[in-house]
Amino acid sequence: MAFREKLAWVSVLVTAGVFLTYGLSLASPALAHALGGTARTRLVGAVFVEILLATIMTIVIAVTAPKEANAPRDEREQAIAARSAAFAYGLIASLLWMVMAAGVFLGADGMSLGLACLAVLVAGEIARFTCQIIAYRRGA
Amino acid sequence: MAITNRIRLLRQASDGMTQQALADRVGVTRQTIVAIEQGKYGPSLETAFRIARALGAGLEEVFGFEG
Repeated sequence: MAFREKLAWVSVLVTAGVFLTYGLSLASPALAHALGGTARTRLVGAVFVEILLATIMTIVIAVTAPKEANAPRDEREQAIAARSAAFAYGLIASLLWMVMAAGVFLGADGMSLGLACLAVLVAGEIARFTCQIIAYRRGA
Repeated sequence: MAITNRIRLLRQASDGMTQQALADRVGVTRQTIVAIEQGKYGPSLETAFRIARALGAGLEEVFGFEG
């Protein structure tokens, strides 16, 4: 598996895992109680945990493949990253329009809008890295 | 894909050069060489020239165009 594909897998799994857990904690009082804190403090914690986990796993992967880790992206990897980012941008832009419409026409409160924007960003990141994984898997 | 290549043949004829060795000489990853050989990725002109040079062949010996 290519080094950059491994990084993409780490990003998808960590982001999805952490923020899915956070999202579930908003819906499940039992999970919220188990994790502790308020919705806001759990959000800060989720961001911290995501950064920590992603950093640790990236370091582990880099240590096992130092030559690849230090090499810059080649042209194909750059093309994959660019196509994935373009797709994710389109998704984020589309979803944000929906969030704005919900805010304007449904009168959503600040916390709800904030969480909706977070969900859009998370979806965008997951989409970006998933596109990269698909491209690497297809060998394109 | 309209662009074909003989990279694998020329590589094997070149003292059995491995994909990794070719990738190192060209400055791309082994996976990129694999993708090019399989016709799944079309290299840039610069990379195509680097591949041809690494294989000791001319550009048109390495790559072909069907269309």
